[in-house]
Amino acid sequence: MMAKKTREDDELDDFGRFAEPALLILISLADGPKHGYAMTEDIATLADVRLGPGTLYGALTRLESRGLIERLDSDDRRNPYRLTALGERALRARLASMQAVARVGQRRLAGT
Amino acid sequence: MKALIGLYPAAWRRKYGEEMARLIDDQPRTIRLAVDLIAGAIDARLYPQLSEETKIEPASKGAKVVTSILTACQPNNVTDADYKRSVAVILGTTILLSGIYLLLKRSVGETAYVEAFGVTTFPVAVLVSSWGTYFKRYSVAARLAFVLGLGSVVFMISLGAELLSRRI
Repeated sequence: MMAKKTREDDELDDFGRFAEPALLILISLADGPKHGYAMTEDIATLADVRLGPGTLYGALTRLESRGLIERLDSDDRRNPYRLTALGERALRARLASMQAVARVGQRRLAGT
Repeated sequence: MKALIGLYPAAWRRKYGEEMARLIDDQPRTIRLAVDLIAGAIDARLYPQLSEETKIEPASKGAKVVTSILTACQPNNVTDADYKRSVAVILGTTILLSGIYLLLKRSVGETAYVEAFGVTTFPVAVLVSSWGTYFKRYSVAARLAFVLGLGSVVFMISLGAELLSRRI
């Protein structure tokens, strides 16, 4: 049974080619604030994907404009970003729906 | 490589420019990196995500006046679909007008008027594409006036330049 799509899940819709980078960024920020370089390294480790600066900031801009992440002030040239409450709910919803889809896929494969 | 940040909109550069420059410093210079930056710049220009207040940061009373004028010029209620449509309109109109230009060139010859028309095909296509983006908030009559009026101005400037170049 697939998970019903929730309003939080819709928050990550319409990201186009930035959908996957945006999801990876949210996952990267789930354990605490990070700046661009730290996110890139973290995502390279967790997903074996190295996001270019254009892709990273394209996704960050979208996430920030939707209130899913927020930029923190810093004296450094590198501003860290953190997940907002809305971002956390959207991430939970998206991961739950992905998990449900994966379960269905695995069950079907097991049945063949 | 950092020069490619210059391709991004000014508001975008003010907000993310330094961070991105730092990130570029930490990466090896590759063609893939350049392509990523250029694609990001195109995306930032086609789909501006920054809100109005972050686009322009007024510093004084005078700047506030400029801000209100610039804000009035920003497209509003423009969706992603509108921007996508405008790209298709630019391409379609450019191809159509270029076809008309080639037909005119064959039937009328290389007159100053025909050459000026040829030069204006792309600017006019951009104007036409603004129908559903920058001009969206205005009435049909106002949009027609903008497109036809500005299109005529562009044509007249091109014609003037063409006539001048023939005299030199």
